[in-house]
Amino acid sequence: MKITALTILKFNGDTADPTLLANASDVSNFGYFQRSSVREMIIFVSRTVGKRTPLQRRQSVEHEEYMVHCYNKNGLLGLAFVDRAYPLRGAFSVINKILEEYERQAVGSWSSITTDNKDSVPWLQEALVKYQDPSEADKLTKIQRDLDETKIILHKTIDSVLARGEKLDSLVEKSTDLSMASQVFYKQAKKANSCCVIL
Amino acid sequence: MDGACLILELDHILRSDPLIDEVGLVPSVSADALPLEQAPQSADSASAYDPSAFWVGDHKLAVALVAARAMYSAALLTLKRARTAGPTSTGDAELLQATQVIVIVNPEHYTAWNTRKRVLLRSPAPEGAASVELQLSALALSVHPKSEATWSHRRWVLRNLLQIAKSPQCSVLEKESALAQRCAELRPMNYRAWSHRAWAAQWMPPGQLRAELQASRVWAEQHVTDNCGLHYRRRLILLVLQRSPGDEVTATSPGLLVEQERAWLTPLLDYYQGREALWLHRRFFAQINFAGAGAEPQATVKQPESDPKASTSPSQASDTGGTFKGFPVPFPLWSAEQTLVDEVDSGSVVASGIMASAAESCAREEAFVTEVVERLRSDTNLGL
Repeated sequence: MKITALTILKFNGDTADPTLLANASDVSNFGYFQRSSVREMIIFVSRTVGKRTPLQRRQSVEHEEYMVHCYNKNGLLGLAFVDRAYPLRGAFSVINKILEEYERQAVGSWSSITTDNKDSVPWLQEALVKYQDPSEADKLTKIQRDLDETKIILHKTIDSVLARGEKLDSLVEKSTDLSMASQVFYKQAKKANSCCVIL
Repeated sequence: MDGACLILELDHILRSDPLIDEVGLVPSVSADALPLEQAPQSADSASAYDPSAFWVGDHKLAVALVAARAMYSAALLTLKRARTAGPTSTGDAELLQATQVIVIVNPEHYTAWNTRKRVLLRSPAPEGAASVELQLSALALSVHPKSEATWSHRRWVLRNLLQIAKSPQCSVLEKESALAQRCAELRPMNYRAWSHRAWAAQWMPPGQLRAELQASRVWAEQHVTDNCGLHYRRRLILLVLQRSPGDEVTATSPGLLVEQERAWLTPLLDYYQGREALWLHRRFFAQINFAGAGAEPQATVKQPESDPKASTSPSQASDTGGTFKGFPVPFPLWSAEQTLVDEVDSGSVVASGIMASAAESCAREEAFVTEVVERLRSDTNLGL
């Protein structure tokens, strides 16, 4: 089991891109020259999936060898990038936990934030380390049975999250989250149909 | 780009920084096209290499794909020339430089690796040459972590090193463990890396073996789906059991070791009920127990893989396994129990004195599986 990244975004409706509020990622198991691309890709995928998660919805998207879990809690989006072995319930409890923590720290002020925060967030980084063990997160679920009240929507590919006529490739090209280098990497990986490496 | 020149430059780079531990083949190495965590600190300005082909920093080396292609073609030509014209036509240094490029780009090139072995054998300073081989194969693995030819070359070099060494080479073996672990992280289910690590474990002194056992436990807890990691753990435990009873490592009796393993697995299985790798692991220890791990575990242990019944398909399971009618039991769970039943029915359990403990063990396994299934069922009823 592995959590690669946790991100928190502000939902700006399904037409505008969400605002990045906090993110933490662990890319140590990628090659040195892929790490920054992977980080950028995580932000990009977070925005793409987050934008398409309606209020109070939970959805999970399979993307390459990852599962991207997303929860929109009253306009605050929490996302977890985990591998397939990570239990679904555990992942959503982690998201619940980090959203609660964020709300506690921000005390409602997040709704007025309009600019991206790309700085590292120590408590989120700590949470990333702590919840690598899903049973740590699941301790919470034993109490929070409400988790499964709303149904979790599962998507086999990221394309099924996108609106009709939208293509991931064109989103990649338009994205401001991805540097030229990352875009080249994305295309290369896609061309080689590589089993891995880049999100 | 001139391949032959670039080959020399690459050789110079690798020589001047022996700490380089990772190579990346990237589309372009220009500063704005190279995806880096921090802004690249430009290498020494009077650099001895082509800045459009290589980038070095932080002990990492990036090679532009165009440059790699040019070097690879040139290196193949050199190798071909050397092979057709006879062994003395090309200097050893040139051969090493050429094969170095070949194995970084394409580590499955056996001829290149074998050429290097021949050169190493006639080298005047074999120890120095061996460490160069270890560095190079680590670099090749950073590009292709599953390359069997590279792992095997590494074993060949190490075997030569370890056989001439008089004392246990703990630090060398520690490096092997670290490298194998890194490669297992880069590519999950990396069987090559784990079996290399198991090979290295054979050479370890007892204390180090114990540390290895502890480390593999931590790793396995975090990677419950990776059967290769768990398989490595099984091999380690067999290794411990095979050592003589007076050995420091087996100060705890074999029975206790198996018991500890079982105690460790129980909560894990409870949490990850559907993970077959864990069930395989548990089954293995149940079977060790049946066979009486005392005398000669390696001879009596029945490998789970060799049991044809264990691969019964899940559909048959629902037909014949009357215990769980109408309930979709995860396949691994079912097959773990079925094997236990088979063991007792077929009388393959070792007879006489051990029989009592085998039956006991069997009953315990059955009770455990039933318990897990019960909990799974009640969870399902709750709608979880």
